[in-house]
Amino acid sequence: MHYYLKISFFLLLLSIFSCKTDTYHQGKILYENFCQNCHMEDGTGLKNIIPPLANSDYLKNNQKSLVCLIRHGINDSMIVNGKLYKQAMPANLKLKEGDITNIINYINNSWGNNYGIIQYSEVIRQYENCRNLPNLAK
Amino acid sequence: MACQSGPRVLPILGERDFVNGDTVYHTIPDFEFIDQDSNKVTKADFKGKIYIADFFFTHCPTICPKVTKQMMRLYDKYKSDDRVLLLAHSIDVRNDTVGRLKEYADKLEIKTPKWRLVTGKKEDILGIANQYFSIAKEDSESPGGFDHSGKLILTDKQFRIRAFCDGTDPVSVDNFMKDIDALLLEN
Repeated sequence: MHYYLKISFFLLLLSIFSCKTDTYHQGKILYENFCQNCHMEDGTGLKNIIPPLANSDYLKNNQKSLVCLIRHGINDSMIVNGKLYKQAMPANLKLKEGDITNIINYINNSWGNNYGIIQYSEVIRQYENCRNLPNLAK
Repeated sequence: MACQSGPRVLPILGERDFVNGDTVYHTIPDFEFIDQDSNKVTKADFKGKIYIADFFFTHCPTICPKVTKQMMRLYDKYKSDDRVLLLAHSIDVRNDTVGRLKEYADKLEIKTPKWRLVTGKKEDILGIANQYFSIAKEDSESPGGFDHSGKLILTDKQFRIRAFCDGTDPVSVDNFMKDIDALLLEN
């Protein structure tokens, strides 16, 4: 009995630690494949060309329009942390609602960001606003 | 490398010929491009310098921002060292006009003689990429319309290629910085 207790305690510890370090695992992989070339591994972007996601007031304040921004890109200027950015962001039409949910949860909770969790249902709701839109940037 | 003593000597890369008992190394041929300030840029501007070359374009949706971020590290490290220059070739000569390169340079907050962003005739740019053993070609299948490598290439005072690295990988660039320092000791 003592033996099984030890084993189960060990397994419990193992599961706690492996879950803790892997919270946004899918989001991280998607980020690496679709976002990181421009926004960088540490979310800092590139000088005055590509805006940061880490500690970004734009990301924090535009949670209601992120889904369509990620999916369709943007071809308009934006102000992030007081700086003007004009580089177009390409569309990511391969990303489905579940992918976008994972990406937003990863960027919302990485690099010191603490911008909350987005629910899948909210992503679906935002997605309806741009489901049939053409790409905003190429 | 444990037995190596003294400073590391970089190899001289590329094919070599032997003419009358002398070794003739691969060197970068003459070139003529235009930089972000509308200045003509030729080999004469790099005389007596070592420089790092790469290939990019300003609206590149793939690896360029990563590579430019690493070029920025090199720029910052050698900012006040006159022996080192940076030369970034745009491979999208149709869209990357001098004005656009200027805008890009301003946004990067870089100074012209140290880090030149150049454009020129398409065949000249794509041709010189081969001379640097880098890949740059038009490809409608690639994102942004160009297929190119993210290599950074180190050229010595004799315009011979001495080292290169993967400009998308910060660790590779860490080692590349050691190569640059080794080359500086040699000169």
